[in-house]
Amino acid sequence: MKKNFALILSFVLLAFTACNSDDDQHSDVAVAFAEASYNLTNDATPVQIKFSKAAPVAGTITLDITETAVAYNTDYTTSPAGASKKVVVPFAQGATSVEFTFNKIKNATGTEVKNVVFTISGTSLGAQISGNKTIQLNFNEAASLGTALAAEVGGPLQPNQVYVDLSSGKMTTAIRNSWDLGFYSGTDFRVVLNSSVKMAAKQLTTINIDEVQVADETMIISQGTGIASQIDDPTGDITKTTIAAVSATDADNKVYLLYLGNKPAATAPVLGKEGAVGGDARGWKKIRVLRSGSDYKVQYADIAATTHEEIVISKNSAYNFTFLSLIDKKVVNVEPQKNQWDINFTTFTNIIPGATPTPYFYPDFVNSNLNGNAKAYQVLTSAFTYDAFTLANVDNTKFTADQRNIGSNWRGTSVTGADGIPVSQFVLRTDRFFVIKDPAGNVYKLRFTGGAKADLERGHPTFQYALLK
Amino acid sequence: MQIYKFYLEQIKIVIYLQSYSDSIKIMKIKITLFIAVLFCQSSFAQQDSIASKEKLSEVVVTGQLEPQSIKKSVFNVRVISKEDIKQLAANNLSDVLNQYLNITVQNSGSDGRSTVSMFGLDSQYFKILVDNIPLVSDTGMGTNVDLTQVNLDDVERIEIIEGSMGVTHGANAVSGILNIITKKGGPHKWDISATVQEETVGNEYSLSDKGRHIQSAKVGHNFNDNWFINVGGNHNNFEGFYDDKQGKDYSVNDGLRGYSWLPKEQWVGNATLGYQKTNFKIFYKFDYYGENVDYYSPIAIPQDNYPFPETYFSRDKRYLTNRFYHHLNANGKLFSKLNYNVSMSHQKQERDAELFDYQLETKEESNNNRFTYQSKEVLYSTGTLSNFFNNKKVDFQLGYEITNENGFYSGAAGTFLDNVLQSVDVRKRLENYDIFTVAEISLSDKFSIRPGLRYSIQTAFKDQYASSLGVRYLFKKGLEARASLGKSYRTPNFDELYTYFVDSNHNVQGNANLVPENSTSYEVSFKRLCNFKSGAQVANNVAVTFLDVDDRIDMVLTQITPSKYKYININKYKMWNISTTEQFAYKNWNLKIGAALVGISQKLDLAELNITSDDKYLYSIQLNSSVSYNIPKWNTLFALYYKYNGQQQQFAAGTDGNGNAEFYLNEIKPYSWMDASVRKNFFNNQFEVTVGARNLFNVTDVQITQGGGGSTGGAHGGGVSAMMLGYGRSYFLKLTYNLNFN
Repeated sequence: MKKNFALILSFVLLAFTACNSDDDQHSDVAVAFAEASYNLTNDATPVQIKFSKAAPVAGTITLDITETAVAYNTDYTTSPAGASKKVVVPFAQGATSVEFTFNKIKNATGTEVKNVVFTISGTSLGAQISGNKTIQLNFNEAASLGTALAAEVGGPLQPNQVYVDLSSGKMTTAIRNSWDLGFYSGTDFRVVLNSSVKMAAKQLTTINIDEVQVADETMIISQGTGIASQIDDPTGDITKTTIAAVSATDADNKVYLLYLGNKPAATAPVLGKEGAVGGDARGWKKIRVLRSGSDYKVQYADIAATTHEEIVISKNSAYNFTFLSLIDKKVVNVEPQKNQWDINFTTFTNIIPGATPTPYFYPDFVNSNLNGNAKAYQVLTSAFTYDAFTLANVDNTKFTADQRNIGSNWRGTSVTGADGIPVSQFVLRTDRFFVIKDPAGNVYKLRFTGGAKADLERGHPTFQYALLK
Repeated sequence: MQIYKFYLEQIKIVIYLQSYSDSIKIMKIKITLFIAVLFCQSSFAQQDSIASKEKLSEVVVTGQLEPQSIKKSVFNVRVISKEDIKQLAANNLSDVLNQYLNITVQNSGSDGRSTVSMFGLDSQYFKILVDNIPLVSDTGMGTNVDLTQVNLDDVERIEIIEGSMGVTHGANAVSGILNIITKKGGPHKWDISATVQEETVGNEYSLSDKGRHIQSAKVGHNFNDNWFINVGGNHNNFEGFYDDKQGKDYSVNDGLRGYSWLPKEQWVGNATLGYQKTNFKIFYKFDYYGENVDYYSPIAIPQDNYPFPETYFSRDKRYLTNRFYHHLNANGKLFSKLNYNVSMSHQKQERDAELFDYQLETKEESNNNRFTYQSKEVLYSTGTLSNFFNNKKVDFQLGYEITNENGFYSGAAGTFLDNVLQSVDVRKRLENYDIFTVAEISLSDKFSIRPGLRYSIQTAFKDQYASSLGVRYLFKKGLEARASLGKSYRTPNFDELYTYFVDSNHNVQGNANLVPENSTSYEVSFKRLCNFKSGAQVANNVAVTFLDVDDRIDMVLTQITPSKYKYININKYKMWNISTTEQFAYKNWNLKIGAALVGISQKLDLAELNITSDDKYLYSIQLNSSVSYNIPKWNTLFALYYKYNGQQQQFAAGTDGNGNAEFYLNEIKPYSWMDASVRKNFFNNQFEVTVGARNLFNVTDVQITQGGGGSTGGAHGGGVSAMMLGYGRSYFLKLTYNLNFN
């Protein structure tokens, strides 16, 4: 009996100890560098390593050093100090991140390529190493290896246009309601409409800007209404604007009736919906655009007016366009320089093809900088996974001349529910990613990681990208 | 195509255009068959003893001045007996109605509700009553009832009258009424029973998380000759039907997360306390119903966790329903002459929605947010007074009905937005005060006439009235003939009245000026009961019905540029139906065969789009039959139920390749239901074991071929969609323990 009892007891103990080792969750923790690359600007730069959850015990992380045209103590040091191409970074129990300091001693000069790559080679607690296993610190200016960004389009009303430069990780925000017309800086004399507020333009027969005009409601772009020929070609082809090329012969430049579209709604819509065009109408204008040497001369007025105002707009070749607000009667800043952005988060008036093509308004749109020569295409994960996709997989023939190659393809707004009735909700398409070639020729893979907040509020896109090698 | 998709995202305008059809050729054959069956019997008919006659004759109450034999009823009353319910091991109404002629049970995978459709008209046109008073639902009083929410544990029988019954049953009794008669007391001093029922859901079953698990118990007790009480409880746990879906812990964003049929857990508790004495009966019935339906979204939402891999969560929800039902009824004689019957009832059904985030890695819920989704609270009273004259030839009933409904829709339950697109809740009180009168004049023993009239004072709509006329004639040799005319009306629902969604892209509006849809039905029916010397009984029933519903409400385009959609009274519906049932009883055999041919004509008007649908009659056939065989020696009963639903056709609006509106003929493929069971009693009927199978033809979704099936059809390119009908062949085992003693 006693023997049996002892046997049972030992089984129970064994069971308990087995449980204890199950509870050992060290292997649940993952570590990674917060960024994949960084261009050093300051003398001392903190470098962060993140933990996927709080460290269960205190310990250390070991980093291996790979140098390109630099030497420890001559060009840089680290704190804690490194030795034999290794740095050991200690962390406390409960830490969710840890930093070490990189001290730059000697800058790169001229076209010198100098950098240090740190690689996480191990941790004292046996943590997984996932995500950014390495970080490259550049002494010279170098294209970003990739990061994660959140474009501040401003929530469900999407009031902002966000221009993203992948190679610098820089984003520029413009209020989309702040401008009406863009004047092309290239050799052509072309004028584009603000598609993000649903503008439309109709050529009139007159060349007299002071002739009184009336609103034409057929121009209004709404559910299934509007005229496709009255908006710019949605591919972004500058030779296919709805307003004809501005002629050197003034008599050829007709007056145009402009429908200025709608403002974003004044208040946020029901959670989960978007309200990008729910706002007041922006009114009507008439314009006539002429050439003035290598500049544009714009005549404009309210439609009922018998007089007009005039403004001269100069081309600036550093930019794709110069932007004019007819409402504020001045030139406004919208886009960054044409080689300093790759993709643009904006609302957009697209055209639904068919027997009668119809303008249709999209929130959550992403255009590529076609005029600046940035192009994109879509890859389905059934063909390549994001992680496995390399420069060798890039198909250059797919970089077509259409700014909408990302477009609204990255998200859906409903999925089919259990009985075939669509469930209306923002859906991130996780079965695809995009390849983007920037004006400098860097090729990135980019995937969207979200478009709505946890409470379903729309207009919060996030994405990650990585330089292809 | 894309316009259409986006459009669906923004506003759920689901236009159901329904009608059913089959070929004329089949119709002709059927009519010949009906007539042959009805008259072939007459030469064999002979009278027999009373005892055996009762086999196929029942006492009914629905639409009657007072309980009377089905033979005397002026209306053609159909009965689903306690035996049928037992043999189908039915736990709730949806388990039995699939076998009923002219009824289709419609199921939803997005909110878990199962509702009735009769003659192609949905559950808003069909009224469900319990002990003669309408049963509250999330959004209606007797209408739009989720059939799975009607438990059958304490049911004595179910009576169904097809056609417009506005005079006796008021609003929304358009296509018919179904009255559930509950048990009062019991044959013994103590009637105690407990049941356990296990079912597979299709081929899915496990004790813990698959299949259907039912436990119930009930007690009936007669304290003395005057007082009785019935108490019961039921727990029904339907674990959902996965089908090709992957359940709640699936984190791939490919639309497969969740369930094909939503898991649903139900609790029922009821008690009836009654007192009866000569010329006086009173009972109070309390009923509680609780339900939990879980909805798992097909969308897995990634959470950016850079530099680590994304985590996923889903925005899920559950619906929690509570229903409280109180009914006090008194009936008896006043001044030892007048018959009175008065019911007072308070009912409340509240459907809450609880939204929560389900983290797929940790399986934890967070951000739980519970709010009232829909609710309906009703104060109801109805009463009748009859037997005014000593004259047996004329009976006269005077009645009233008062309904005070307080309905609530949260902004999430419909498209109710204000001018700045904020969601608004809708709370409205609807009252109606009705008086009605029915006379039953017996010109002879054989010939009765029954005119009726109802006037309804409505607070929300124009006052309504309904009228009816019934005639019954008893021919020789057991042939009964009936004819009736009835009127009713359907009052507009909240969506139709209060929908509002107006912004620069949309203009979709409900319409507070809608008038109730009105219906008229006509029915002529013949019944014959023959008793043979051998003890065999044959009963036939042939009925021809015509139903007309006018001013039907639909959402249509009322202005093209800019587009405006509005609910208006616009469409027309006509239906005619010939149906027959034959019933044979001989020794231990019982056989029932029924057939119905339904022709539906709908005129669907797309208003400003300037087209209307073809209003030709589209025909469909339904057949049903049941066979039961009793082996007394073994205490065993075998039963088989079969129903065939012929191909149905309906016109549906779509758009052609040029974006123009067009009507297309959709076809629902034929399908069959078959249920079978064996019941055996042991130990002096103390133990009852029922083993059976539902849906032997393994029906799941039935295909709807759109736009004639060609690539030329419609915005959907003539695709194929599916309608949820069943979850495949399932098996059940039911064990009941009965303890009856005095």
